[in-house]
Amino acid sequence: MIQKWAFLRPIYWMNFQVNVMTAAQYRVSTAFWILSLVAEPIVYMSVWAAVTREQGGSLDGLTVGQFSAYFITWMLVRHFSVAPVAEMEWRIRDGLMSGLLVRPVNPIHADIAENIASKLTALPFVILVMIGLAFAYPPTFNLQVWTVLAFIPALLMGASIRFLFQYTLGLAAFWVTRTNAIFGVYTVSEIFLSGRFVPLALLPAQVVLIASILPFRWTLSFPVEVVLGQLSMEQVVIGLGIQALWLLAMSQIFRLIWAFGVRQYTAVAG
Amino acid sequence: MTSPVIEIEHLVKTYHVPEREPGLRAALVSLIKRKTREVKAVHDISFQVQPGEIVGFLGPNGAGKTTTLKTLSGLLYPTSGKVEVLNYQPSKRERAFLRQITLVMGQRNQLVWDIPAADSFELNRAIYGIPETEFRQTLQELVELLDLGPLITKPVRNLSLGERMKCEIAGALLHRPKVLFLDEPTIGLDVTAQRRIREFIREYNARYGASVLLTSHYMADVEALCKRVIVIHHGRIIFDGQLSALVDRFNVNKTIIVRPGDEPIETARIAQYGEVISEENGQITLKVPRDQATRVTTRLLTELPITDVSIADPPIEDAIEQIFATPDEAVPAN
Repeated sequence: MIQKWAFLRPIYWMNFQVNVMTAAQYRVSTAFWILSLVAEPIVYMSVWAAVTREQGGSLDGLTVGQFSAYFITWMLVRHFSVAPVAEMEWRIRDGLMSGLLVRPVNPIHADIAENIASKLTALPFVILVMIGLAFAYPPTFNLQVWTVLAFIPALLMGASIRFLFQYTLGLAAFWVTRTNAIFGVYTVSEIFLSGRFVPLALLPAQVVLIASILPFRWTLSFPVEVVLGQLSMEQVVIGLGIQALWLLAMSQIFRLIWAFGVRQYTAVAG
Repeated sequence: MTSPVIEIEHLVKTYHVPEREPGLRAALVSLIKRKTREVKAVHDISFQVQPGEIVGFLGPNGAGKTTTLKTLSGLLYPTSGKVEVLNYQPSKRERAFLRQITLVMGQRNQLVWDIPAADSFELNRAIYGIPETEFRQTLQELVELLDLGPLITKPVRNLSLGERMKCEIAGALLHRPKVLFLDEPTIGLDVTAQRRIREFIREYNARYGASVLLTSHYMADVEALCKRVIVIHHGRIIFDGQLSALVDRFNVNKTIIVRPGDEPIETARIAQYGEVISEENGQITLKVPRDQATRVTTRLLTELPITDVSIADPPIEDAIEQIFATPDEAVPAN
């Protein structure tokens, strides 16, 4: 493990630098990307604020301030978990994967490094927008030291599960030419089951159960629930354990599908 | 005797290609019942490459050249047969194996589009774990040999095709691979850039004793670099031997270059001796069947007022064209 990391560390560091350099080349693109990331929670926030006010200031026990706290935290979690995996189909279809496969390192490492680089480069802007949203809709946070500390592993594991989930789905391109439809099903499921559009607390118990059995809740909703103090310490510990199991499962599924996919690879256009 | 660096025995690679009739009806039927056709891209080929050899791998489009190169570099899984490179099984894609080979295919493998090539080279240093001193030394050599000096600090997207290809090749060789798979390394380049890359490949081979398997549609590449060529056609090897032997075997014609004396000779008159290919700079080039070349030359010297005559092999392209124009069953086995 240590030996493997010693091999991978310089690769991550160089990839990180290269991706920061690339991001710096595309300031306008980065700005628009952040804008798209920002637009989504603002729309949701506006909808839920209007509905809550309509209901007399509380919707199933959630106030506008609590919705605001939810979506402000949501922004941070989502920022970390958005994975740029749409490239996979293009890489495989156009044969670009060939160049990556002849290198003595799995391309996922470069992609993880790229993901980290793009997250950190854009983070200051995301924080600025979070502050802006906080001014527009003053949030009600009930932060405690232990929930903030537990939020860090929950956020990192949630982002990692989602990255691996999407990355593995992207590998479908080894078998099918177009993966858009697969991602379509994934996105619709995620919007409703991960707490992306509506906090899971507002959904029927059966839906929450499905969201908890599948990986969706653990990618986005769980870290938000942790920091907002909606869970007991026991629930947080169990949740972190479930996240760890999903992470392990996803990495094994990725390995397996990768191994089969590479055998299947025909590099048609390359 | 040293063991070969590349060893292929009875390699077969089959693709399953979807196919359907044209038209809407067929498209709708294919939604329910999909037909596939088996295409044997490579059909029972065997060959070896020795350490330090540069071998030209020739064939028309779709002959199976790229499939073979991809199989050798571990990108494709063979359907059957034995494939070994540097005593590794390429399809296992072991790190130690991938560190010792390189595949240059097109111009979009090594370089990150938005940053200068020098930064991509640094990335390769990390990926291949090249020690700093060795990296600096190799980079310096490559910069010198490929004349990359001012290029490597420009963003790759601002480089011309030829400049990009040179940087691509440098990136592919920073880790000093022992085996080079080069798929059309000079395609689309101008004559000067082609020559430069050719000289470079020769120099790299001489300096590091690397083995090279090269495909190219430019015969100039093959003539300049390869003593030995393997010709593949419809997935089968139809020739494996010295380049000169290829010409001997497949060239059914010879060219005779005639220089008339002071008295001009009418083209129609000389055309009686063979097919006139060109007439320029006061000399006429004739194409005649190989077995008649000596007799025709003697006749030309005795019957026409000419000062000089010489016999030559036609350009190698003619031999290759001849092979590829020949139906499968008519091609002599090697």
